[in-house]
Amino acid sequence: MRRDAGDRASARGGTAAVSGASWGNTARFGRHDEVYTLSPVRNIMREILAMTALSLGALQGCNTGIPDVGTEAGSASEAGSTTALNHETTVGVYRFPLSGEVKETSDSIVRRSVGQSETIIQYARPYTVRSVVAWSNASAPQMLSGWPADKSAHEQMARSYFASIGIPSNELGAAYNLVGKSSGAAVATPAEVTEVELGYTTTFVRVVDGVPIPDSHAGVQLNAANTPVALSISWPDVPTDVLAAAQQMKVTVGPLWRLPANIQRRLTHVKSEVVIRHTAPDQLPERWRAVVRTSLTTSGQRRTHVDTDLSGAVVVEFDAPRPSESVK
Amino acid sequence: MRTAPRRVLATAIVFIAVVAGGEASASNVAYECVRYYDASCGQDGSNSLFNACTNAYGFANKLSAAGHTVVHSYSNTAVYDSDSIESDLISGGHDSQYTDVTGTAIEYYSMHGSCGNYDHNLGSCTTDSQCQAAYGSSGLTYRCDTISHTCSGYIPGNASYDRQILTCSQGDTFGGGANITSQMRFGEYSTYPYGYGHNGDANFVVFDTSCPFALPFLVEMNSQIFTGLHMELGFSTASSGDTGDSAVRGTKFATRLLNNQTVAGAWLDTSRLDDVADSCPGLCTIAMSCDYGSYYATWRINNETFTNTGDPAGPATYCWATYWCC
Repeated sequence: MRRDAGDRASARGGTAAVSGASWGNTARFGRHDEVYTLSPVRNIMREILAMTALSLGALQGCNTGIPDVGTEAGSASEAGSTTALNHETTVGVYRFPLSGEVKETSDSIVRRSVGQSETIIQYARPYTVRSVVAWSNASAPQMLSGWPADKSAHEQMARSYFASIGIPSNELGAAYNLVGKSSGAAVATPAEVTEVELGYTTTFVRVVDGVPIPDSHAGVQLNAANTPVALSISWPDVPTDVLAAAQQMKVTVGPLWRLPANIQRRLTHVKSEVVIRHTAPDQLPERWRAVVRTSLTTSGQRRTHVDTDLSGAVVVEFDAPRPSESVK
Repeated sequence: MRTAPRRVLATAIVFIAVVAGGEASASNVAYECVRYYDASCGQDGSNSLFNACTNAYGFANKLSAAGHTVVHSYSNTAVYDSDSIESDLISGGHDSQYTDVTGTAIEYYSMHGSCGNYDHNLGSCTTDSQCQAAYGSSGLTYRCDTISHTCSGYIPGNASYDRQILTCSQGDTFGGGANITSQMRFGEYSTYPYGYGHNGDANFVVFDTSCPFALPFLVEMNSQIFTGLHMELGFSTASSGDTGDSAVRGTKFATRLLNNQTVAGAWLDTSRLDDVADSCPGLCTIAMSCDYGSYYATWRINNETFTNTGDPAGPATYCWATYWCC
């Protein structure tokens, strides 16, 4: 999913309106009782379409393959009219269960919904894209439903899950599959180990039209019942002007492109490629930039990387600044 | 010296009371990071970690912006190997002044690490006895890593098998490395009777380095540092990979801490979900707690948050760890 510069500007305008907007404003979806008297499947589909429409608000004429939701989409991108998802909607879209009484807090950055043993956080930047984090405590009911058979099975479930919530399958890059365990042993008898299986996690990195976006990701841990127990998605719409700039840079950054010698020093060059950086969901205002990311290995074979512009100047605008430090 | 069980029980009750009544509050945060490893230290060379300090700065800045206090923060040549060495165990160590200082909630290391002679990714296995039978004659203790299903070996008590953090400074006095198992201890708060002195108090220590852990020898190689420490966070490195030099892991970890996720969950989810490309391949991300008995160690991994904490009351007799592996 992409959006153009005008939409990016409106997202910033919307940001300004965030602090004054009501998180509970569900006008775009109708009243709660109106939405939730529909069937669960229809609810989910309706929310997905509504969210997708929000994310595509200003992309007039863009063939997305997603049904046209008409004027609602257009109005969604106007400053002050965007809305966050309340926890019921969030749970519905992401199928993430919250047990017991749910407590909600919100500020201009996030809306937190905390159940008895789960938390889901919807980032507000901008409301129109998928930026969500969720986790379950060890005692959560969904932790007790068993785990998929193996990594491969989990990856397929994860692909289906992300497709169901509107992550474009053609933007899914490499899949990283992980296995989890807990284990314990007495210090006096360390070889007598108790182990507990924790299932699998699949996390996808993102590639749009051949351009990696290393700050985006979509990761999920699903139980055997296909219920997410942990979730993290940062998949903001890519501004079309930034994507165009990245494609233009790719023309220059061929296989022989190298960092200036004074930067690379004696580290081993692995590859240089154009990537698109973006700020984290809780960093406002959002910023985007196409850069050249050069991957290197140290003499100790550890991976590192450096981001530069086409001239080889190091790009630091996404780096945390050095704080005031102690003096020895 | 060991304290009578009655004292342990009494302090355990204190632990429970502190945990039950814990309130979120401002904490002290510390870090040490090293980017430069050239011959003279202080400039980029063949072993530079371009993002190590950016990573630590992000961690500190995030928590600082939320009202926590950054103390004892050092970069590059201001980081000495002796900063992390237990002053009451090794002559010349200064951890009580820099990395295990009274009132410090969390110490974040972002730099190179060394795996030592840890022998891993050998032949395939399903049981420890298979490894002992295949390799035991070499004098090492062998176990089966149940994640990779390969044999690993080390020699207990042999410092050459210890893992290290690696510094690069003219101020180094221990050869540019501090051994985790044999030279580091964390958490000796003022009334804790089982550590080395009473001049520590770090609750959590993060090794964003290569090889702070060595599966399957988590307990054998890492339980020693728990002298009042609540939790150790880090990685176990296989020969097929290494800890990625992430620029954002610290920031993302801190963000999760501030959202009141458990410390273990925040660390593990940062790696497996938020920053996976720098956490794979050939890597396990680990959170481990060693405390007095299985209840407390497990409780810490499953429940302990950054600001809602109670110090260990007894000696570290049991370790519980959670890990996610690529």
